[in-house]
Formats: sequence, structure tokens, C-alpha cells
Amino acid sequence: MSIAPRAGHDHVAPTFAAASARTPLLLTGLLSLLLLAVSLALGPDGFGLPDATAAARLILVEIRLPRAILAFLVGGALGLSGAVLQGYLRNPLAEPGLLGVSGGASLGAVIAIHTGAAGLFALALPLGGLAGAGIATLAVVLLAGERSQPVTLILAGVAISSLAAALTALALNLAPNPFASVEILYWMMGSLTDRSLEHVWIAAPLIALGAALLHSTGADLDALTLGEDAAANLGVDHERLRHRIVAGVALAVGAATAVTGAIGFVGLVVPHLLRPLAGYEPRRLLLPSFFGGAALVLAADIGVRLVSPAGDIKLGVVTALIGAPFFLWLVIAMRREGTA
Amino acid sequence: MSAAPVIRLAAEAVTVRIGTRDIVRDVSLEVKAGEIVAVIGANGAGKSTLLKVLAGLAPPALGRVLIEGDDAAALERRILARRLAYLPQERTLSWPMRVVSVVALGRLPYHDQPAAFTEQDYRAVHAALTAMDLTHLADRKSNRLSGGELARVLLARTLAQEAPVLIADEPTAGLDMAHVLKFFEHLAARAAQGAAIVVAVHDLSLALRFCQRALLLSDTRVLACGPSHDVITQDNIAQAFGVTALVTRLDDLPVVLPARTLT
Repeated sequence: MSIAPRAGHDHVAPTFAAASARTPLLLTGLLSLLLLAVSLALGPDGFGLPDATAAARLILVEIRLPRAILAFLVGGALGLSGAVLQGYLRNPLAEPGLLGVSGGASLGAVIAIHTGAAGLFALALPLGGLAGAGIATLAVVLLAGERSQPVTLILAGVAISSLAAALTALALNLAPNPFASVEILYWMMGSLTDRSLEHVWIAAPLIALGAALLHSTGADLDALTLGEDAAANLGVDHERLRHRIVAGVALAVGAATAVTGAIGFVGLVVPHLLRPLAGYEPRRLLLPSFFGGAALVLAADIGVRLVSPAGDIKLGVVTALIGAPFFLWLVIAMRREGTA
Repeated sequence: MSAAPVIRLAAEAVTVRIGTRDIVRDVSLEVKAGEIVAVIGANGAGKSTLLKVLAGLAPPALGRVLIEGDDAAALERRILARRLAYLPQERTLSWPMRVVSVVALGRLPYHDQPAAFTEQDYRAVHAALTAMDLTHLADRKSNRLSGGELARVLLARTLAQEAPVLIADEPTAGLDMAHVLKFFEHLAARAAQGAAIVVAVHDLSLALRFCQRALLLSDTRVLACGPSHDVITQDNIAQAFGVTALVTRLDDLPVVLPARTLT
């Protein structure tokens, strides 16, 4: 919805109309829905929906649907979390992994593989990941303490991330057999292969709840643009804001990492790319970042399936391959901006 | 004859502490509707810290702050935000948002999102842009502004808040002389409409001209508080700033001219 120009305030009305334009939201929303449809239609023999046989329906519902939905939700969770954290920390280099949540989730899943629990029942992996994400979040919150500044929160997140990474390396080091090592390595690369509807049922409610919490921070993030004191003067409760962000990121990113493994760069690149379109306003960046993240992960997954139908190339590898050149381009763009 | 003007902001025996160090001790102050009060003092005298406490952003160690009769510490944040606008000293803007969007942030205490803006919100934003001479810059990205222009944009945000109490920490630092005058004239107009205003300023001539009262901080305490011309005197300036100054009038305007430092 855009704001109609009002008579009598010639200068303000048209500029507001421009500010409230929903172009980025429409753009990313349509793109992600389109890619969702492509993902559903893409089979091992190219595009096309399977015929009406029972087996074909089963393929669609049991194999392609969970994959497409998870790509959408995981990408959305990462994009939105990145946008919220960048707004909260007022730093364009913040990313969803900062709070230690994804590191914790990875460690939990790796432990599930290491102990063999993953071999006993399929859902041990995502459940282990969720437990890891929960424990890591708790540790970060306790470490940062009450009334902590954003910087303290990030330091605590970095500390817990490093610890989780060290323990993950230890688990890999002590892997009981080469197969477990390979399985751990592959899982850490992030993938959507062979995910079932159960994975969707585990992740979807948590991601939805986390996304709702994160989306509710929009007005506060806008106010924070003016600095913490001015934001407080505009009615921002810094404590409440921090709680919502930590809980939101823990739920959304924790659940996402638990079902797909760590998928890098999405939460960093997507908000960055969309920010100019959103007029650099943190609130207007949130929903587009959700859909933009969804679109990026769907596109990367479609690319993976086209290039290597056997699933040899992992999704996380592809997003990293997209992400790194993006940063090269960013550096060049910034240098140009600086000399202009 | 109407009743006595309402007291909009009151500090009752306020002591501000950071850690165990007293920053300011025992400040009592009442700011009535229609008044502009200058908070003056040397660098590090505690002006900014005191203003933050007066704005309800930090609780005082002792005493209390009343905003329109209610204890600031107990007021709901949104309610407080509608009663009091505060301009911090540091001019930060994290993202290069457009000028009009920055000013519109001043309406956040009234609406959670711009989509809910009413006629009154547009009027407030427009009035703030006009007052700070920014209408021609409304669409400009804020990283394309000069330092003084940015200062005016951030000021306009507090004006758009349309709160009956305004607390501004060195609002005119970095502004050219025309905009300094314009700003204080706008403050005077606001006060005439019933606002209560507290500003930290270093320009004592302006304080004498536009502020009815002044609070002079020195060495963690209130050195003087009262009508500006009783506070801003040669003796007090010497004591608080260590400077001999000429306090006089030129063309019927008050002038304070620092002469030399005392050693």
C-alpha cells in the first residue's frame, strides 16, 4: 500500500509516496514464488510436473515439496535474520551466525552423527541441531549478561561460535570411522537433499515464530538509526528489543541450520543487496530480505540440482561460491564510491 | 488573568552518578510552560549527563525527575516519548536514509509505521522540515548532506515529535549563524505556544538573549541557577570557566565576549 499524496503539503506528500513504495517487497516476493514453482517442477529429467499416477504424486509431495518449502523457509530465515542483525548492530557486515546459534546447531548435529544417533533414527540430526542451537543461545545470553550492549552480545556470540567450531573439529578429529567423517563434512556443507516432510514439520513452526518476532522489531530498528539514546527517547525499550532479537534469531536460524546445515553468505549478502532498494530504512528491508533470502536459496538449490542431479555438489558450497565474488564486487564498488 | 503556567519538567534534588563518582550533585530545577532554560558549564561539567537524566533516559542516583507531574522512571516509554523530545549531542545516523524519512522518525511515538500516518503526522513532519529550512533537501540521501545540514535534519526529528518538553544537547554546534538564529527563534516560538525547553549551550550571548533562565554547572554542583542575567555574570564565568569575560549589551543585544584565560 502506498500513501496517496495529500493536498496542502506539497513537499512532504510525494516524497512519502516514494518512501513507502513496495517495489522491493513485490520484486522479491514474486521472484521467490516463481522460484518455488520452478523448484517444484524440476525433476531429474528436466522440468515438468509428474503425471497423475500415485507414484508421481508421491514424488511431488514427499520429495520435491519438502525440498522447495525448506529452501524457501531456510533462505527466508537467514535473509531476515541478517537484515535484523545488521539493523540492530548498525553494521552492514553483521550476519546470522554472529550470535553463535548456527555454530551451536552445527555442533549438535555433528554430535548426533558422531555418536551414531543419526543412524538410529532420521530425525536425530535436526533434533540434535535444535538442542545445540538452544544451548548455544543460552550460553551467549548468560555470558553477555543482563542489560548488555550489542557489542557485548556479539563478543559472547563470537566466543561461543569459536568454542562450537573447536568442538566440531574435535568431533571430526575423533570420528569413529571414515564414513562418519565424510558424513560430518558433507553435513557441514549444508544441503537440502533427501529432506522429508518431517523436517518441514520440525522447522516450519519454529522459523515462523522466529520470523514473526524478528519482523516485529522493524520500528525499533528504524529508531536505532539515530543512535541508542535517541532511539530510547522515541520509545524503544532496548532490553525488550534485545530479547526479541536473540529469541527470534535463535528460533529461525537454529531451526534452519538444524535441518539443512550451515548455509553461508545468504544472511549477509541479501540485506546488503536490497538495502538501497529499501531506501536504507531498516524496517523496509525486513520482508524483502526474507523473500530475497528465500529466492537466493531456492535459486542456488535449483542450480545445484541442474548441475549435479546426483547431489554431489552441496548447497552451502554454491552459496559461498556466489557470496565470495559478491564481496569482491562490493570492494570494487566501495572503492569507486570513495574516489567519486 | 490566567493561572500560573504549568510546570512541565521538574528535577527534585537530583544526583547523577556514574559508577561511584558523582557527576552532578543535588540539582533542583523547575521548567514551566513557555520557558527556555540554558544549561551551561565547562567541558566535562556534567551537562550532557544531566540532560540525559532530565530526559528520563537514565535514572538519577538520588532524587527524581518529574515530566508533566509524573515520575519519569515510572512512565511508559511511548507516553514519555510523546511528552519529551531529546536531541543527543552526537550526530549519528547509521544509514543514509532520506531526509524526510529521518524526520518522520519523530512520529514513531504516535504510529508504529508510516503507513498509518494521519494528516497530523504529515503536518508535523512538514512543519519540522520548514522550521529547519530543509524542504528543498527532503528527498536527499542523508550521506549527501554537510555536517550542519545533518545537524538540522536531526533537530527537525525532535521538532516533528511535537512534544511539550524539548531537551537539546548543544543543538546549534556546527550550524551557520543564520541557522543558529533560526533555530533559537523557532524555540522561542515553541515556548510561546507553551513548550518547556532545556538546552545545553556554549554561546552565552545566545543564552542571555533567548533563555529566560540558566543553570550553571561547575565542579559537580550547581554554581548558580536563576534568571539568565543573574547567572551569566563576570564573576560566575570566571569561576566556572576560568576566563575573564566582557558581559555587556550592544545595540540592545546581550553580548558575552571571552577576553583571556585566568591562570
